[in-house]
Amino acid sequence: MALLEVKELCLEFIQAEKTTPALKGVNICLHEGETLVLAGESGSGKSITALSCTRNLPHNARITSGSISYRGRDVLSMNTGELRELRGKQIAYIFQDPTAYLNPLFTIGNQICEAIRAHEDLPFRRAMDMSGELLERVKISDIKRVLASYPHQLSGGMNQRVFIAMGLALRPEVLIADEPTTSLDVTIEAEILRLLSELKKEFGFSLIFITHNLSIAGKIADRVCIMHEGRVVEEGCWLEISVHPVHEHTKELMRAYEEIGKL
Amino acid sequence: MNIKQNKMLLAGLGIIVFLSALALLAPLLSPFDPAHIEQAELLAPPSLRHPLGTDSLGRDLLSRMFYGARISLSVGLVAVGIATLLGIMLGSVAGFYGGFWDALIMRFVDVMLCFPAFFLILAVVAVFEPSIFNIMCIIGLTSWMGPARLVRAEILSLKEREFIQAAVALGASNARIIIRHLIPNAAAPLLVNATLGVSGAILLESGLSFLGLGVQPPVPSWGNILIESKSTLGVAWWITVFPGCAILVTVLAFNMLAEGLRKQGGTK
Amino acid sequence: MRSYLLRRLLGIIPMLFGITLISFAVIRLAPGEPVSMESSLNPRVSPEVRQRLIQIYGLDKPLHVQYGRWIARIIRLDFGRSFSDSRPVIDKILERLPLTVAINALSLFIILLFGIPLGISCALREGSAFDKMMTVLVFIGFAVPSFWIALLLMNLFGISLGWLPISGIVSLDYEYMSFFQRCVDLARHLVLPVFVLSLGGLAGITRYMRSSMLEALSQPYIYAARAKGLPERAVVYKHGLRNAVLPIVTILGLSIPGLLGGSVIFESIFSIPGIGRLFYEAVMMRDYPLIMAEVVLVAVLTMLGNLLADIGYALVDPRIRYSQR
Repeated sequence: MALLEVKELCLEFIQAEKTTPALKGVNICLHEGETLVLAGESGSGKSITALSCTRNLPHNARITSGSISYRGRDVLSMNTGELRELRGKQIAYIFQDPTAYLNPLFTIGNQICEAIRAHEDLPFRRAMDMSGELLERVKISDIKRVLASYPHQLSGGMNQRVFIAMGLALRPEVLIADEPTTSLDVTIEAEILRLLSELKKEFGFSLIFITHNLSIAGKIADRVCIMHEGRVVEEGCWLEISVHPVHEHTKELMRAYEEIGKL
Repeated sequence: MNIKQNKMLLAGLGIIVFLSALALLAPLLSPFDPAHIEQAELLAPPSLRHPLGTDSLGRDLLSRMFYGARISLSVGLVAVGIATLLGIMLGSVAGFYGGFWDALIMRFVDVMLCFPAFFLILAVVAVFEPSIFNIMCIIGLTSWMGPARLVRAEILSLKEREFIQAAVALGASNARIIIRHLIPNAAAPLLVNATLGVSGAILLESGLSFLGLGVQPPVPSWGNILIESKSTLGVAWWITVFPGCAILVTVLAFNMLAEGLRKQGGTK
Repeated sequence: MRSYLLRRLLGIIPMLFGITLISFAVIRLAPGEPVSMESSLNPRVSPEVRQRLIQIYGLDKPLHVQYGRWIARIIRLDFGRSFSDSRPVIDKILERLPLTVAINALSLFIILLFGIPLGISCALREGSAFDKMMTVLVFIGFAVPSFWIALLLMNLFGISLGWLPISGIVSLDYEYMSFFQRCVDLARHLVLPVFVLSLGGLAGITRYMRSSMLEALSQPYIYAARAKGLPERAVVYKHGLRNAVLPIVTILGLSIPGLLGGSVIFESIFSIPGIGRLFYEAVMMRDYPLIMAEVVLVAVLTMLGNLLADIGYALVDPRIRYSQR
């Protein structure tokens, strides 16, 4: 069943009287239980598409046409209350450069509790305990220290685990991961990817994984959407696309991927 | 951004050009000699004969205002010129040679920044008698810190760039590198800084003249015309309103120019 | 962070050295001798007495010796005696200092009280008519000569409307008033000076808060906070505001020289007996010991203010408080 559907989404940026189209009719479909990889080079519109799903957009971005629906409900016409329900509880995010996406002035514990208490009416103590349990789930040891730390005191990999814990706190149905390993070391990257796969099996969420690195797509994807200049140019399951790319751009990407593979 | 669309810059520049014209043409435009005393018309309100009124000594305010423009603009420009020159010299040495010189000069900057401009300037005025030249120098000597920091920062960031390495490799002397390659890159922020410096200098000069420690009467300065407003409050509104508005408009113009230049340069 | 604090505190010593050096240099660069003023005011002073005075003040010694001796004295807070009434300079300053500090502190408080919310409102309503109007007002606020506004307001409120007194800090019959009346009297006298003193700083803080808030709201963690499903209020105020207000502490420190410098003019206009006015009078009378003392004092106050601001900031920002090992 289609969990999240984006149809012909058009979005533009407005900068001092000038409008720049960023998305020119994007179509994406996420099915229950699958891992969808959104691949493409920088600037192709992957991140903004992901953010659009919960209308978490910058001031100067505007959706001009198209639709986004979650479980059949129209996201673009949701009111504030419904959007809040959607965000965090049904659709969660993890971002590139987790240290930058955490507020430097609050402790880790504080920020995870905040995520929990945004939707559950729990006393602070209980939320803190839950946070500790979540950190355990993402394989963080020395939980007390981490809960009391500030983001700048932890490594990138550690902060990303924190983010994952925070994202899964309320057992969302969809996790959108926007280039979560791009700013991490390769070894850490492998750990995080492994962690995500395990957690996906354990928690049962559907995953949209955004990356510009096709080798990752190869490892984790059920289906792939290739984006280029604001459009989805090719879409299908990974095996098909890697063997029989159709669109010019996909062919280029595959060629580059193979070149590196041959090295 | 297109210069023609930069309204701030154009408006500011326009006003400044207009005021400069008034200042330059003061002798031609003034209906009276600014020191000319008319016993019959002490504290006269604005009239056809005296469009801006007269002061307590019967001097025509309009004429005094024209000559006052000369003072304000020249003090502003010269003081800022001194400050910028000094700032460029010290900032270049600090940024380029680094190490001991950098530490020393930056300490010097920190110490100078601890002195409120007014206190330092007044202390110097107490020591050297107030004159226009002294005022220009002392304002310049207490305002060089901003440009110095700017130039230093610019040099520090550019020092390691390739085109500098290339110049060094080609055997260019240090001075040449500094003057021809490094400083011009700081030109844009320096210009903005200098423009703001002029408005600051004008405010300082008028404040000093108002206290009687700046431009000395009978030479008219917008600040020292305002000295009389203290004693003529409520009686002669024109003595208070016109010089103050003049200062306000001039400072506003320079600020607008600075803002326009900043937008033009692309920084925010 | 301890090392940061230690470094900052140790840094005071060279700063004090620099401050005293410059203060000394400014006065001693005078053409002619400072003694000449004192002795020339008194025509009965003979050349022998003048010579003795020179010896007493050590003006015949080389400059660095004079500097050293002066430092040795001011460490003990002995700034000499005022030329005008021979009272110890330190006494004259101390009796007026509290008033100036109080008025400046009050101004600072008002600047923050109104400036921070105004700046935030502008940021939240970026591009709106309100924002544009405030931008214009701030611009004008920067351009207005503050002493002129003081004169205009004195004219309006003091003379035309007669609502507020325009000189001194208390009325003539203060002694005969009840406590409550005294409070009201004091307040009425302080309204105009504090208001005028605050205007410049208000423009600055409003503009600063606006850009600080706009910058904070464009940071990545804002999107993360929103993605968690937080109400917009929490996103803006808990996450955005906290980060935006943080640097205000240092801004406060930086505005001290401006406030103190402004005091010279304001206290003269409003006839307030503070150190600004004292300085002005000292300058008019070439009262060198008093001038030097005030210059040093004001610089030290500024330095201390900056120090407090930096320490405060280090305490408040976890990135500095717990710097990475």
